[in-house]
Parts: sequence; structure tokens; C-alpha cells
Amino acid sequence: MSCEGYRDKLIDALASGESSPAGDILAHLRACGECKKFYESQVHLFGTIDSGVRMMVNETVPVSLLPRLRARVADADVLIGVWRIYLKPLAATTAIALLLCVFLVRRENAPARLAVVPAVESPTSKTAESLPTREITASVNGVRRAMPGKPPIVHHPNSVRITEPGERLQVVVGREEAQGLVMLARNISQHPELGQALLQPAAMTEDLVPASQAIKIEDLAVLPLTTQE
Amino acid sequence: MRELVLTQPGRVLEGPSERESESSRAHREFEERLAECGPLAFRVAYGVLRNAADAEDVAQEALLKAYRNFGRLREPTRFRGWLVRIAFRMALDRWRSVKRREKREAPGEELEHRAIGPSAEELAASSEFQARLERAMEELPEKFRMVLLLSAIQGYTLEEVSGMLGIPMGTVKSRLFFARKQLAEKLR
Repeated sequence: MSCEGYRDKLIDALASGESSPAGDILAHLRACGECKKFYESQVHLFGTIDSGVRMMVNETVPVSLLPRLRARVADADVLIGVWRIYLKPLAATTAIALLLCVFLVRRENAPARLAVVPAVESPTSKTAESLPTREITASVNGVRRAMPGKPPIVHHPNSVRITEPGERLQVVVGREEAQGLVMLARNISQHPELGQALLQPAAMTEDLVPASQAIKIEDLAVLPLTTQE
Repeated sequence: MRELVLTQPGRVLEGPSERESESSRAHREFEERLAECGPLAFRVAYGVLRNAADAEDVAQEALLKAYRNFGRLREPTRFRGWLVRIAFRMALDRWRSVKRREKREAPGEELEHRAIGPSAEELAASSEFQARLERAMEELPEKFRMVLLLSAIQGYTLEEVSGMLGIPMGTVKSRLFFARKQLAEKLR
């Protein structure tokens, strides 16, 4: 092995804290003056490193360390006590009250939504007259517009399904009428005066009432059923 | 003839552990640890910061944090390990922030790699070699540096360091080996 190899081994031995090098290295050190000198310098270097690191950490601990710490711990105890006894319940109560307020405010302002859906027969339908008064928002192309003022009652000859508060209010119309109602809702949103005009009660006059005529059946023949029918 | 002994059940006194509340018991246990762990935290912090006042501040912060988390750190080895790590981490953070501040205040200047200006005793103790050693230490990977510092603290064996850090003994030895070797390379 070359001197370089022995020196590497020497350094490894010193770095791992071995007190004396292995036998083959020792034999080389006896034979090689240069390596012996190198070894001595490295022993000195590692010794200086060790004492330097020890000096770094074994500094005298200031006498104020523990008394100051005890004082801070006592302060922390007081704070923890105050927190546990007063602030924690207070914070919890405040948080609950805030949540309740938010819930109530949102519930008050929660708009019913109007959606136009194609007519489907629904057994749960109710008549328009039983509708509660509430604000209605028209949902047009995904944009909801609130219609201010006294909320109208949605009239439709077919049916209006009442949903739970916060749910979408559905007016059930025929397929051919859906597009028209969407346009109406859009126009009302864009022209509030139109909505107001629509909400004005119409004066019912005699002229507006369609005259109903009795159905007359003049030629009525009653025939017996044949076997083919 | 059988002897009849009448015994009156006396009121059993409650032991101190029963009388004490949980918090005061924790407080007492923490107090017991302080004598050993206070200096340990200080020394770890000092090993990084090389400034007694800063190291004291960091040690206090670390110990206070340990006190707040004492409920889950009662096992002594665990407590020591946690404290050492937190003190080391906090000291490094402070050291870095001081270094950043120094850089901002004196841009372009070659920085003396010290946390704070040297105190009188540091100046007296330091030599050129010591300054080089400190710089070399700062360049070591954190895990090597921590093992090196802990193993240099008086009164702690490698087994204790291994227990503190929760790593096997072989890992402690290998980290120590690489730390010393790297230091020697830088200082040669």
C-alpha cells in the first residue's frame, strides 16, 4: 500500500476516535518518517478540533437562566389559568353566538329561486294560491337576479311546486312555454318597471270576462257497439 | 381464647399525588428536569450561536415551549431529545436571521460568521483556529453538527446521545466520524 493509502487509513482511524492505529499502519509509521510526521500532525489536529468543540459547548451556564425561566413559567401558568377559566368559555360562547347570528341572517336573506322546468305531472303539486309570499329570484343563463319589492305570487294554470326554504322554487310549465317564461324573466330583470306593471292588479271588467256559451249538440246519434269495435 | 381486636377504620389521608392537581404535578416534574435540561439546552444553543445572551434567550424559549408541551413529553429521554432538537432548531433559526440582518446592513462585506459581535470573553478565548473551527462547523450538515455538539457536552455519553436523538448507536458513531473527518479536511 502506498503512503497515501496509509494516510487515508490513519485519518479514518483518528476520525472514528480510535486511540491507536492498527498494527499494519503502526508498522508503516515506524518505517516511514514522513507518514509518522503526518500522523503526529493529524493527532494534533483532531485533538485541537475536539478541544475546540468542547470549548464551544461547555460554556458556563448563566446564573440567570433558571430564575428567569421560572418567572416566565409562572407567567405562563397565570396566562393558562386565565385562558382556561375565563377566556376559553368566553371564546367558545362568542364563537357559538357568531355562528348563530350568521345562520339567522343567512336564513332571513335566503332567497327562493325560480326555475322554469318543463311540465311533468307531479302528485305533490299544489295550487298557486297556497304559495307563501317570498322574494323570488329569476335564474337566467346562470345569473340570478333578485326582484325587489313585495314578492309576487307565481301563477300558472298547471302547477307550482313548493319546495323547502332555500331550495329552488319550480314553476312547472309546458315545454313550449318554457322558453317564453325564460324570456319574460329576463325582460323583467332588465326592466323592473315591466315587473311592477305586471304585478299591478288588473281591473276586472265585464269586457275582459270571456263569454261562455253553452255547447250545443244538435245531431246526436247513439249507435250500439258492434263486435268488431 | 381468641383475642378480639377492635379496629376503627381511620380516615385514610390522601397522598400528595391525589391532592395535587394535574397541573401542579406537571409543574413539579418539570421543575425537577430543569436542573439537568436547562444547562443542556443552553449549551446546545451556545454551540450554534457562540453568544451567551442569545443562547440564554433561545434556551429559555425552548424550555418554555417544552413546558407548554410537557403533558406529552414526560418520559425523561423523550423530553431531553425533544428539548435538544427544539433548542438546536431555534438556535439555528436565530443564527440565520442574524446572519441575514448582517448581510442587509453590510452588503458586500465579508461576513465574520458569528451570530453577534464577539463578547470580551469570546475575544479572549478565541484564536484564529477557533474562528476557523466555527466556520467549518457552520458548514457541516445539521445532523452531523448536532451529534458533534451533543457528544462534546460534558457528562453525555454516546449512548445517551443516541437515546436523546432516538437514533441507533451506529448512526451516532458514523455521524460523528463524518463530522470529525469533514472538520479535519476543512482545517488541514
